[in-house]
Amino acid sequence: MLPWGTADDLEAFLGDPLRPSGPLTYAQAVADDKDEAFPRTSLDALQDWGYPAHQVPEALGGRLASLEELAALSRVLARRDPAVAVVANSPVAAAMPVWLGGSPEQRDAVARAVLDGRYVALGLTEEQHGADLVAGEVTARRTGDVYVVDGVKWLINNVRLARFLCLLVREPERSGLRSLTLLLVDLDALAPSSYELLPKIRTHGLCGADVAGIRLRGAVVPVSASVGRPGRGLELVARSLTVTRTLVPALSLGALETALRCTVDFLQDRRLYGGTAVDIPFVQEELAAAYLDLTVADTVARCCVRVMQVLPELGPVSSAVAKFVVPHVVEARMRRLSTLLGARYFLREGHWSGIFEKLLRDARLFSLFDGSEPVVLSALAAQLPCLQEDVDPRCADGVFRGGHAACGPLADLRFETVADADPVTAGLQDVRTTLLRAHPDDPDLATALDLLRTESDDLRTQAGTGLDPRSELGQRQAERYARLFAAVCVAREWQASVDACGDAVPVSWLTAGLLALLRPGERMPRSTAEQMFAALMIEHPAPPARAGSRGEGRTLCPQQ
Amino acid sequence: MPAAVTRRPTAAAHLDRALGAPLDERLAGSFRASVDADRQERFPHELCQEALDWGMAEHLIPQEQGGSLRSLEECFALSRTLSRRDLTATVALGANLLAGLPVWLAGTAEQKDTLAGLLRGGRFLSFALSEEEHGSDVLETGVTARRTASGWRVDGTKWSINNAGHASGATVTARTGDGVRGLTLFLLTRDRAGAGQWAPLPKLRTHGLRGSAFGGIAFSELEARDADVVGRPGQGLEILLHTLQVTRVLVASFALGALDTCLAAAGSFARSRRLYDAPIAELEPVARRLSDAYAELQVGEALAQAACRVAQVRPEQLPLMSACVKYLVPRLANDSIESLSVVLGARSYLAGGLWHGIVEKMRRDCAVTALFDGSAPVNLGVIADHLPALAHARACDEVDDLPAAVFAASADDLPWLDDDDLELVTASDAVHPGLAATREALRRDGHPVAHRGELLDLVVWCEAETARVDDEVRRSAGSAAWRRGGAAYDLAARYSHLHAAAACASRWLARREESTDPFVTSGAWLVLCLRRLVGRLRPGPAPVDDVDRAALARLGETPGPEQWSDHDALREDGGRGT
Repeated sequence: MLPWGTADDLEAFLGDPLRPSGPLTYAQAVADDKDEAFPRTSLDALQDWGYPAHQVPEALGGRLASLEELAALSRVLARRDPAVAVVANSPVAAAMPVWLGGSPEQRDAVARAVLDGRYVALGLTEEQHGADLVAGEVTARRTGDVYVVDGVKWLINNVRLARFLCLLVREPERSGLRSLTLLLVDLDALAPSSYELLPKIRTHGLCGADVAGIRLRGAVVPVSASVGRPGRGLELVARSLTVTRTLVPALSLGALETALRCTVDFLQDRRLYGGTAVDIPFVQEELAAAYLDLTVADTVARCCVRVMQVLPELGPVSSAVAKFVVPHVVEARMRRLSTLLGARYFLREGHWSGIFEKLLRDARLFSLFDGSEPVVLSALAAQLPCLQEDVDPRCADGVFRGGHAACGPLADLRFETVADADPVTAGLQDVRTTLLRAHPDDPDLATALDLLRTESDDLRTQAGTGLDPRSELGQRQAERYARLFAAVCVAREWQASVDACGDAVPVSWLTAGLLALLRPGERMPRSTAEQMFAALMIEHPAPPARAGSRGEGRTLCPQQ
Repeated sequence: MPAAVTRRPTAAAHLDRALGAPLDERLAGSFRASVDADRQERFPHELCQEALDWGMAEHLIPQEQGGSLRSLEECFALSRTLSRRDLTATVALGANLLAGLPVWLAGTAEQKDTLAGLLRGGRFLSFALSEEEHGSDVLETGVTARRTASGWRVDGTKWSINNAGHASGATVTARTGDGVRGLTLFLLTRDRAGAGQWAPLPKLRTHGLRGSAFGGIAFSELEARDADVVGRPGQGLEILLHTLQVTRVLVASFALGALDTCLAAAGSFARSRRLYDAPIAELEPVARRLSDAYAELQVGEALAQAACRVAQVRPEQLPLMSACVKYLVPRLANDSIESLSVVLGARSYLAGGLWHGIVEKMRRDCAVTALFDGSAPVNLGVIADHLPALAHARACDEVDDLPAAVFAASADDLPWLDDDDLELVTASDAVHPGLAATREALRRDGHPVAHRGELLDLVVWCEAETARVDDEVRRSAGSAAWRRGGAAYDLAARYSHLHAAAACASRWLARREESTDPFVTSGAWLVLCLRRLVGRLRPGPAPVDDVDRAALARLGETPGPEQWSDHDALREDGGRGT
């Protein structure tokens, strides 16, 4: 049985993505992209299937009961068209502050709108200030029981289609970090003369998405529109981003998965130098490394989603790790895959309708979403002191178990904008001991685990030195922390799947996975590459045995 | 490095002035025009025409044919200058040179006249080598030329070739027999083709270079004469391999031109964009990325300029050096542009906006240059094939030397290319001893070099790394699978960095004495280049220091596109000040 019934159901509903036309086929994705068209056909099909209900928590009448399931659903879409995945998931991303901190009335109103197929938008950024939210200039002046809002928000997904807009505003009478308030604006109720929707901004990736801005001129919003307490907007946004940053990796993974399949499919038929391209050792090694990256990134993404569900107080760390590691690994890997495709990589037609080049452009945006790489690394750099706190690593055992967990109402997730301790990384010593005991004669594994321990010791020693998170060294330390955390996730998840099902992928894959994170770019041993290549070929057999696209993601725990 | 002593305006500066300011959106040579044509998937006819009106055709015709082409360095500079505005146009004109080179190298007087006539008429040419099913596997060429009573009959389809739609002539690789002597090159013109014998296929829709006339040509019973054979029948592969050595160097001009523009755009943005109450250029990670990109530009320029000259004065070094240039320079440019995209943040994917969105176009276009004239794996394969012999030559101390002209500030009147001098294999790496020479010069140095200590460390590390590569090659090169495995490619990639380090060191050594520029005399320029190359092989944290700050100051002083058309601001090296 596959772990994600709902995702399989969606996959089955959508059918073969290689059909010549139809919703969520590659052909449709490429056509919409070329026309810079809102992907209406595909979104309508998703509406028929009931996708919007998965954007709304169960407690509010929707079907969102598990972030892990939501990630799996997003990935099904991203495999076919990342632009559709972004638009279809924009309600949950934009409404996250409401799910987390809205009043019962606000939650009900937004839930009803989303279930009716309406969109929600999140207005945070401004043209001049980008990630520097504190410098925002959109103001809300309080007069009696209303706010009067003025200013321009920019680069907002779906704002032109939205019923509700979560809008981050400055209250001039407040100051500092507590000067920002998040308002839930009902655009249906806003006086049309008091705002203007700006033209669609043309982009080079996710071309179909409707990204635009809004200009507010004396827009009147009731004081009751504040989501959570006035002045606490920044905090609420930070908490929302913690959740949504955890979900973005699923989109990157979907893109890489299709890019890899597309590449393998081409190379299996490609005749070169008297054989097929997949006979060339270099090609095999590159494909094996891509497969390894996909496996590793998938494991990291899953673990970080589960952290959000079962150990939410660690969310500020795990979300930054997932948001840095997964899009970063995926983008780099897709560029390398493009080398294998040769001239095919940049054709907008032909093999698989030319989906590869669209995936390449679309996937690049995921490292920018919900906090760019430097922003996310700064956030993580500020969390380095977590490594110095003594904490029982067993607190995180619930994260590593292969199974599926509901997360309960999102509003009940208890976490702050910073974490105090890191029970995931704290488990390194135990998992290292267990692994070494089980594999006493594996020098490669021992070397990888030693490297992991050295990284951990180094980072812990330096964690208290008060690095500036925005300095070069601060960013590099944050990257090391992200890679360390991710590697410990991979090790603990591997061990947990041995404990749970008595089996897992070969330990040489684990070693290769740890090194892929800690020493990116280093080549895995030829024997491991051969094994992984063989496994990839079994998963993606040469024609005519080739099946249609399948729904499962890869996991360290073998599929039952 | 110091600018040339004589500041005569170069051909490239003339061209730049003729094209006008790239930010003036009324001009064909503007970023606006480039981005618009790209969006509409339209060929940039206007810009090509402007370049031709200026006299570009003469620069594609060697002096002995009455043209102005006499120096690859000048050709490179022209191409880089045009690339700063639009790669689509440059690559189309570059395809003319690629298609013409086999004829200039090995053609008959009649063929050369025909070719010169086409170029002077403003026509486009296609280098018709690749085919849909065979890619880089040239020996599998499926287009055939069969003997007839009066000559040859050509059949088959070329695919993924530039200028396919509008080519008036093509150098066509056809199979005339078996094995390495089974390929023959033909210079064919469309006006001689009968109805249906020369059929362009529909334009291929592409992700980069979207406006290009990429496509295919289907030849059907096309009659060719004996006089259309370039060189001798069966000599095709050899001529191709000679041609590609030269063009692999020139491809680097596309990549450097693209990086010129992207770096200028990112630098300009970083100085004006404010976040957290300061320009983002003051954020250390931003400064790091800008400094690294500036360094990679310097490295690319040093390596490519030396290769241009090597082609003319030491052609036997070209098989190795052209593969190193072709692998490394597009790679450096692409990595830099990816890194600069992080500096630009959301601006990197908005259509329009900063400089009309040229960076995003350059990013896509530059990525494609990595494929031209042999992709990265092909060139790494060439380098890997050389490694055992290079290691052996170093071990036996049998390494050739290079004439001073290769790294001097200026080198005029070098002998033009001669097909008879081009080789297929380089026996020893004559660039690499530049590391040892620099080390020795620093050790016994009479010059005060402020960065002497760090320079020595860097140079010594590069030499030690070369020894490690050589050892690894000796250990593993014997096994059969090695040549086509990733480990060999990795060693080749490392070696290309060390080769580039030697080129930078040699350039510095050759020019520092006549320089009065403290950035050069202090060794800062070389520290910047070597650190970047070493940093790519041995990544580690690199806080921004005085060398980086000096580099950033120079980047700030580099003439921006608003001044590119002012030829006084452009020096021999294209205005980069080294």
